[in-house]
Amino acid sequence: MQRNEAQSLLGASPWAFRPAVVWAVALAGLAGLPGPGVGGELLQLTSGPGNDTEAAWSPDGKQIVFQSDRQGTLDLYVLDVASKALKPLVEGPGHAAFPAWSPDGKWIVYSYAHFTKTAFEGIEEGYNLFLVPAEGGAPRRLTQGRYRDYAPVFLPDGKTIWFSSDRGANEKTNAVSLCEVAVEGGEPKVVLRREGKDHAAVQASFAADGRSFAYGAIAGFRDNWRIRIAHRDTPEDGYTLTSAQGCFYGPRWSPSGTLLACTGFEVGDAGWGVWLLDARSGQRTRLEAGPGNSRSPAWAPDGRRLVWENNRTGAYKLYCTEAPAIPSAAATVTRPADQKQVLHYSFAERPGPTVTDLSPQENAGQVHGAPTWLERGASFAAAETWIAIPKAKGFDFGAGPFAVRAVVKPVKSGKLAMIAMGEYAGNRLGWQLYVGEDGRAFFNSRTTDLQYRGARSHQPLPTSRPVTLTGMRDADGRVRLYVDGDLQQTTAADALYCYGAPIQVRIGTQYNGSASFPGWIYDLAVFGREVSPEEARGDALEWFWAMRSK
Amino acid sequence: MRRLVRRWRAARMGVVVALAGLATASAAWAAAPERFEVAAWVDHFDFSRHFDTEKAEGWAQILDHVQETGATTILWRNCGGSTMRYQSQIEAHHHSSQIDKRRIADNRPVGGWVRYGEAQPDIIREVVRLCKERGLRPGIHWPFEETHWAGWTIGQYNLEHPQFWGRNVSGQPWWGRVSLAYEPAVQHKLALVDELLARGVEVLFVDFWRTGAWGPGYEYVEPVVSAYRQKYGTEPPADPKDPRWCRHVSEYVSGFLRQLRARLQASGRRVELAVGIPEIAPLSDEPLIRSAADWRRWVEEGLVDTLVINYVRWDKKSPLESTRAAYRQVLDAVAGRCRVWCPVQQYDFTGCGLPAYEKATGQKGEELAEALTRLAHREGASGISLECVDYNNYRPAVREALRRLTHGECRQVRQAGE
Repeated sequence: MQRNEAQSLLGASPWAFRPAVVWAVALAGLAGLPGPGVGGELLQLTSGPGNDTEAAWSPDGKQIVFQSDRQGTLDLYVLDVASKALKPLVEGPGHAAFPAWSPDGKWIVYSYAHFTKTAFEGIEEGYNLFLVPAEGGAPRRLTQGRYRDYAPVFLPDGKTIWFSSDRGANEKTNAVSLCEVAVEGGEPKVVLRREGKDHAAVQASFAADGRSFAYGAIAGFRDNWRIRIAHRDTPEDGYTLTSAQGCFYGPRWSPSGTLLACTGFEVGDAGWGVWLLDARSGQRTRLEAGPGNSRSPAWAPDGRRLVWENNRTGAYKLYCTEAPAIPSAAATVTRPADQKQVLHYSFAERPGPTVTDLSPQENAGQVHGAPTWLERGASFAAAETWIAIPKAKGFDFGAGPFAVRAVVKPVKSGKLAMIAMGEYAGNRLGWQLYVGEDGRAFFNSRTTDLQYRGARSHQPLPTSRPVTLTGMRDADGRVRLYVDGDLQQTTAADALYCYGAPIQVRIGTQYNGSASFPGWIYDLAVFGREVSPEEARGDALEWFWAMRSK
Repeated sequence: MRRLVRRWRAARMGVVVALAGLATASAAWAAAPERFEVAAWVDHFDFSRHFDTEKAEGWAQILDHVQETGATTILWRNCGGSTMRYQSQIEAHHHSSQIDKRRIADNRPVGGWVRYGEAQPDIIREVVRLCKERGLRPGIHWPFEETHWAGWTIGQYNLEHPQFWGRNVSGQPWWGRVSLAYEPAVQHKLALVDELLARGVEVLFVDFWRTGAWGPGYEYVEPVVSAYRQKYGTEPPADPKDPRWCRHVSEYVSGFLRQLRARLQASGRRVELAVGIPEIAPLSDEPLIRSAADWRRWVEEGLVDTLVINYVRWDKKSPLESTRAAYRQVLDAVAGRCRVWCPVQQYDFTGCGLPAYEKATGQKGEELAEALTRLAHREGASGISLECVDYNNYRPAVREALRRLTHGECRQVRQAGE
């Protein structure tokens, strides 16, 4: 193809496309390096000038595409894994970045921009998506406009591409959403909108069955990147796998569908590392990859090897090693009887007129009316239905800490819906865990002069799956709320109301029968102590996957 | 051989004569009345909708506009957060956010797409040249790790060195800060200073505590916490504004300033070091105990050439008189050991700028600008600082008033006894 033909396909962009030329690259320094730990022998795949980053393995496992600034701007190259030969795929002025293979291995989608004007003169096209044949050829524009379209990925069906973009974002918010566009073209649409300043969902990666995906998420400037997983049919209802106590981004789902590889950092680490997360248990482990930062891991199609970038030599180069096995979680976690647990109801089985308490306190609940029992849960949508525990034992917390954890699936009702509450003499609204009119969760305690002190969730709760809510008043008098183990708000340290013996604990309604909870309650536990973030998370991940199975 | 000796002697004599001349000029300079400075903080990014801020013509237009205030010193922004706005070889730029998946790009139609790191010629080098050509002192306003609460302001060093990230009291690391307790992070900052020195800047204004900037709240890193435990035998307080914690953290800021001072001296050039203090309150330890800003110690140690009062918290019942009293206190505390610039601040995010004075007094902006300038001048300040001169935010009448006054009756620093 002549250069002009290529240019015409790319509109006004002066594209210096060249026919693919196979370089017989002398990859001096390509060598097997001693394996530093988990993962066995480490193989350096690229060398030479510049940074080689954002690698992706071809579906047949024979090639790796990556971006490199070895010639100044970012270009795309394809490495033949067996021969180590390197060929340029997209090069010339402008930046070509974030390459990803189509499932049939015939195409590579990437993000590209080339600016010839200043911002004041006017930028018409930002970073847009292009498709180029994997064997080389003329790129085809897929998206257009002054947007930042990047980190694309093919869905397993090969017909659709998801990507990150500032499309639809308010000018002042700097938000990045996940979008999709058909491989055949057409208008992109937002599939996971991120509202709010510096909220972003970046670099989706699909499980092999195409039903679930992972992505990097950040919820504001003070947050850290976290890995979230979600189901394609309910993308908004993501589950956060990592906490803001570390920083994790760029997930890639393993071909087997059980592991996620990503870039991560935890306090104590020497820098960025390659981490493996178990999507089912949430367990994670860091790949020992030696000195320097290790980033952007990608799986070989056999799921046995990983390629990633590391800067131990000064510039980022590609390395490869065998993927280690992640230590599996114990099949059954044995938990000793918790003497500080004062209530534990499971609604997996339909109870009789009373509900059995699994805690040492044996606070049996009295079922009032006819709650609905379905799918391991109870609903109190019907009028005059609730569970009451008169004079519940162990709920006299004094001014000390306590926590309430509930697994619930709310419904959108637009009304306040009470999950559980404690009524005390002189303080009828002693503590409450509820869903507000706006769909957000709230947990509140009181100050010594009965002022409300409540923490709420950042977002309205998911309604398509169970979510684990944990409200806690800590020893200092701070009220906290966790959603799936993810800390939401924390109040000032003045919720120091002194709780005596309760009049009752009520489940499903307010103390007087109002504000009934029309969603599903699956599990409820109350502790006369603080709970750890892990305890606050409970079995949230199991619930996330269990409901997917159904 | 004899010819060679003669040449060497002649050359040596030339050097002696030149040095003598320099000494004479220097003595004359020292004896000359000091120019009352009008130091304009200039952020070219804020002009991006009005001029082409990626081109030299645009930078000249900005200077034209700023000079209407009578500016004598230009404090040009070198950065947005910890991204750089010139051809830095060691830091990222605003437009780096477009190709790094860890950043959240700036969405604004013009501001979101500027590429200062690629601008030709180098912005700071050219602005320094333009300043010198116009008889202005070329300086840099360095809002130290000011983050603007936006993901695109995170620099490459921060992104690449999570092990040096600051941590809050909960132990949560955050990419918006690298701690001054880590020597490699300090050396990176000093390398940025080297880049500025190489571009010929004559004034370096380090603005640690501008809103959103560096603070003790993210210094709960292992070295600082360990040192605190060792010193006090207890865990650090949960409140990052705890006086003892701030005093402890201020040691690291002071240490940084000592290294910075040494770096400037090692350059062999006379570069003025200015440091800004917000809400300065000389009769209390407020800046020290709330921000870890131990400015009195820096003055005592001779670390700073100029103390910049970013703003004072004046009394609404007597705006100008309470301002005067605050300036007086600072000048008394400094006692001539360094220069002091007082604010004529158009920005009002503090509630202490010109708009707030207008509201409190009912006077016009130009009247207040004159009054504040006169006030600074009469109290013996070395100049005023203008935060920040954007396009037309100092209205034409205010610019004219400032220029007229500082090129007229307030042209020179008031001498003691005048």
